[in-house]
Parts: sequence; structure tokens; C-alpha cells
Amino acid sequence: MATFGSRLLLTGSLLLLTLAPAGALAADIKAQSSTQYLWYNDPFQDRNQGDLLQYVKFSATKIDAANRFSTVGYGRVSQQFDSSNEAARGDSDDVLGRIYFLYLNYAFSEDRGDIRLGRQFVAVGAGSGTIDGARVDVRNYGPVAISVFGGYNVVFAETTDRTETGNYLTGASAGGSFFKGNNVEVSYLRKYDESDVVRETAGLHVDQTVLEKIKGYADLRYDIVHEAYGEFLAGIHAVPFSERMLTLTAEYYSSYPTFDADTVYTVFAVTRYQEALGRVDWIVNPEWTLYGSYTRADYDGPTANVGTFGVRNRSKSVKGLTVNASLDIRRGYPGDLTGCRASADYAFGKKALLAAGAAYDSFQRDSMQDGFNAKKFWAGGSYAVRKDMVVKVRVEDAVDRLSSNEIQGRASVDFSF
Amino acid sequence: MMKTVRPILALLAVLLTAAVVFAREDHRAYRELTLPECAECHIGSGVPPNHGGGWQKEHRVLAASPNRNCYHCHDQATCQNCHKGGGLGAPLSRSEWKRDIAPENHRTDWISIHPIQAQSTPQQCSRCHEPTFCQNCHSVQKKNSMTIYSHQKTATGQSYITTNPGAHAAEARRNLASCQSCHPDADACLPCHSARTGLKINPHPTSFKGGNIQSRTGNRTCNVCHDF
Repeated sequence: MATFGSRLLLTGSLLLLTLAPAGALAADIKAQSSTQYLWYNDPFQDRNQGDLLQYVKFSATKIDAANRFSTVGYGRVSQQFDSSNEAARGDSDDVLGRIYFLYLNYAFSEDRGDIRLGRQFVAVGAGSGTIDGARVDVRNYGPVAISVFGGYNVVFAETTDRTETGNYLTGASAGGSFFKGNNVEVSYLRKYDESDVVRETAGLHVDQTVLEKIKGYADLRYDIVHEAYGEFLAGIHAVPFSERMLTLTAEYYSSYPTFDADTVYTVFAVTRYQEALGRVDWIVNPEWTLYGSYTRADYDGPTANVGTFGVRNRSKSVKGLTVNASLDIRRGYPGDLTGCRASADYAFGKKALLAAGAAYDSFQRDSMQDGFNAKKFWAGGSYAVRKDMVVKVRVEDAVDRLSSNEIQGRASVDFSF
Repeated sequence: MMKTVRPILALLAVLLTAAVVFAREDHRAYRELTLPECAECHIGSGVPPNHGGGWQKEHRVLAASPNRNCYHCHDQATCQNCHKGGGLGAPLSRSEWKRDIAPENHRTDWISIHPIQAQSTPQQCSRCHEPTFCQNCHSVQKKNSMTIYSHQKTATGQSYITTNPGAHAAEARRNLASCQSCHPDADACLPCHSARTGLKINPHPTSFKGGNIQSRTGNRTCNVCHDF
């Protein structure tokens, strides 16, 4: 059961790769590989563990004379050492694989659409997911772009991925621009579990830009099973002074959390969450970017105030230096948090990069008697040994509520060919 | 006949023209640039780049649009690396959680802080995680160790009914997913909320559309509490 979809995916993709390109050329194949060793402390067992991972991502184009067919894939295999074999929580001594995507793409001429077969990430306004199946996108034939997809619903479990007969994900969307600055999209998503419909959602998105300076938008997810507005977002982006690259955003968001219809939680009453947000993004110049936001959150009774401020700098005087810093403040339900983060990286030409950062959080959940502090320091670097080979190392030291000094890190050798 | 066809043809012509005229900039030529380099060009264009400070929240709507142009610069690894923990090309600033690379919004001491994030924005966790992800860790959590108000410690374990009957209802309605993370089969709920036994307290919302659930799941869900 668990691997039926994967088998189908692999068989189908290989078959299509073999059959599709009648007049095949020598394909242009590009690939990236990353061999990584991760070391960390497992908080549930309080002991050190190590994982060896091998990532591969590839693309093959020019499979046929017209260059319509291409195929891409991305996945990993991993081996854990010193684990407790608790596969549910991500621990297992077995060699485990995970395919993020692997599909064959047929592109219509003049960027008019695609047909994709295989494992792929799909997203429409009504929802998103990963499927082992097919997706057809049609665009640039007129103002309306259409997307239709369906297949096995892929669940990424802790250590691997799985599909099961009876669990499917299907959906469609249609949208377009009907007059200047306008976009309208309608979408639909249906999820099956054991062949029962457990999730059915409709989506609607509308946006309109006026005077090339103000964009209003609304996005709605309607839960058809519960006959409730699951999510609603409405907002305005304004660019009052285009030469200053200042963007002002005001948003209202509302959420009514619903559950898949095959869980008993789907019948329980829930309350609506609402928030109002104001944000400023300002690209002062190529060196400086500033952003800040304030959110007022309402939990049908308790409230919270949330603020964020951030700055990015790419120094002109010290070429290759980039600095990021941010401050987050939360007060109210379900707890208080004050946190800041800062990081910097310095590129030595195109061959080497050094990076380091620190983060500090002071927090107290509503349920806690006391507040706590947590700190994290990290440093890392990368070096291009050859044009196609980069080595990277990252080490992190965390001091928090659960550990006084926890070291973890990763080392990798990346190839591109 | 022609009178009917002409307006349709005119409308089609307008729509086709609109599709061409209002087509967005093709960014494929710039896919290797970094964000600060994008800013250099955009400053002269009068169109601010949209990967700003709120991009983590904002991208959902744009990425789901049929007219999305994400693929000009990104492949699906960009989505899966953040949503599903992929680690090829992960920035050095990203930390790990076991085999997976954690996204930027997972702060320090995430085990302690994550309840604030989970409770603060309902539906956010489920954009990346299955309910089983929560259950896998919460199932091994020691009973009697929960610190939430509605789960007061008692001599025999934890009880929310005798000490604080209203609190658990309010908490559950605000964040039912957190109940599911420890009680995936609602074992703690059914003794009082089932229609078969116990106090038979109705848990449904006032405008409950039970017929939709019943018809789609063939009574599978309803049979947990009701006899049909």
C-alpha cells in the first residue's frame, strides 16, 4: 500500500522518458549533489546522533528535437547512526529515501502551458499539496490561464514519504487578467482519504492595481464541507513614492480552522481568528532595506500585539559584506516574546563565504509561571574547491530551557555537473 | 447572426490584447541574481520587488495563482526545501531539526517556543506538517507534565473538568489542533461529548452542517459518537 504511488510514479516516468522522444537528441543533463553529515543531540533520548544524507537534484532537457520534453527530479536518501529506531519520530537505522519531486514535463510552444506527469508540488488558491499524478497548465491562449491536476496524495512522514490507494488530491483553477491591472482567479480542491471526500475547498482571488501605485487584493478559501469561510485575506499595497521604493501594506486576515472530514475533530465548534496588519517595506538604496510591521490579533476574546522590525545592509564600502538584523516583539495571547536575530556574511570573491549569526529570545507562554531566555550562536563557511565542487560547514551552539550547551552542525560536499 | 457574433469577437480581441499588453516582465534572465541585486534594477523601474519583510506570509497567494511567475527563477525545490525540510543548497543561516532543514520562522528553543507560534496563527502549522507530526512527539510526552491552564495537575493525574470547566472549552475552540496533537482519536473528549455515553454534551457549532460530513464519509466520522 505505502509504496504503490511511488512505484507507479517511477514506472510511469521511466516509461514516458523512454517512449516520448521519438527523435531523441543527446539530452542536456544537469545535476546537483550534496553529501551531508549532520550531528545533533536528540532531545527525546538526550544522546548524540548522526545522520548521513545524500541529496540529488537533476534536470534533463533537449530530450526531443523540439525541446518540448524535459524531466526534473529531487530526492534524498539518509542513514542514521546511533538511533533508537523510533521511525515515527524520525529515528531509524534503515536507509530511507524521500522523493520531493520527479516529473516529466511537456511544454507547449510559446510558453502556452505544460503537461506534467509524476511527483510534483501543486498549489492553487483553494489549497496545496504534493501529488503522484498529472497536472495540465494552459496559459497565453487568451486572458484566462487554466490549471487542472489530480493524483495520489503524497504524505511526507518523518523519515520517508508515502501514498496509499484511496488517498487522492485533485484540483483546478482558472484565472486571468481581464483589463488593465486586474487579476481574477477561481479554484477548487478536493482531497480523498480511503476514497471518502475529506476536504473540499473553493478559492477566489481578486486583485486590482490602479494608477500603478495602489493594489487592492482579496483572497478567500471557502470550506464546502463545513459551509464556512476557512480563510479570508483582504489588503492594500500602496507605493506612494515610486522613486523611493516605499511600499505600505494594510491587511485584514480571518481564519476559521477546519479539519479533514474523517477525523472527529471536524465536528467540534471552533472560534474565528482575526488579525489586522500594517507593514512598511522601504528599499532606501541598493545598500539599505528596512521593514517593519504591526499586527493586532484577536482570538475571540484575548488579543495580542505583534511588532517586527528588520534591516538588511549590503555594504558598498566593504564589498562582499551583507548584514541582516531583526527584532520581534509579541505581547498578549498565547504568550509574550521578545526576540532578536542578527547575521552577517562576507564573500571572498566567488570562491569563499564566511557567515555567522546570533539569536536571542526571551519568552513566557501564558501557561508558564516564569519566563525563559534562549540563545543561539552559529558560524559557517563555504569554499569552492573547484568550479563544480563546494564544501560547507556549519556549527551551532544553543543555550536554552532544555539544554545548557547544545552543539549541532552539518558538513557537506556539493557537486554540480 | 453577425450582430450577435460581433460583440463577442470584439470582447475576445480586447481580452487577447489585454493578455499581451499586461503581461508581466519575464524574469528568467535574472534568476541567478541575489535579492539586493534585484533591488538595484527595481529602484530604477518604479516597481518594488515583492520579496520583502513579509514575504513568508505573502507568497502563499501569489504562488498559488495560475499566472504565477515563480518558475522564472525558482524550481519546486524552493517550495519543498521550506515546506518539507529539503537541504540541497540550504543557506548557512538555516538550522536543522534532525534530518530536515528548519525554516527561518522556527526560532531558538523551538520545542519551548513552538506553542506560541502554533496557537497564535491557526492553520499555519498545517501548511507544512501533517497532524501526525505533532502526535509523534506529543505521544511520548509524560502525562502530568502539561502546563496549560485547562490541564490542572491533580493527585491522580491531570483534570480540566473539576478545577476549571470553562477553560478547556475556550482553549479548545481557539486551537483545536493542539488538542488533536495529544489526543488524535479524541479519547479525552468522547467520554463527555459522545452521544452514546457520559454527559452527552453537544460539541457541534450552532450552525453545524453534519449532513455534508455524513454524506462524504459514509457515516465513518459520525459513527464515532452516534448510532445510525
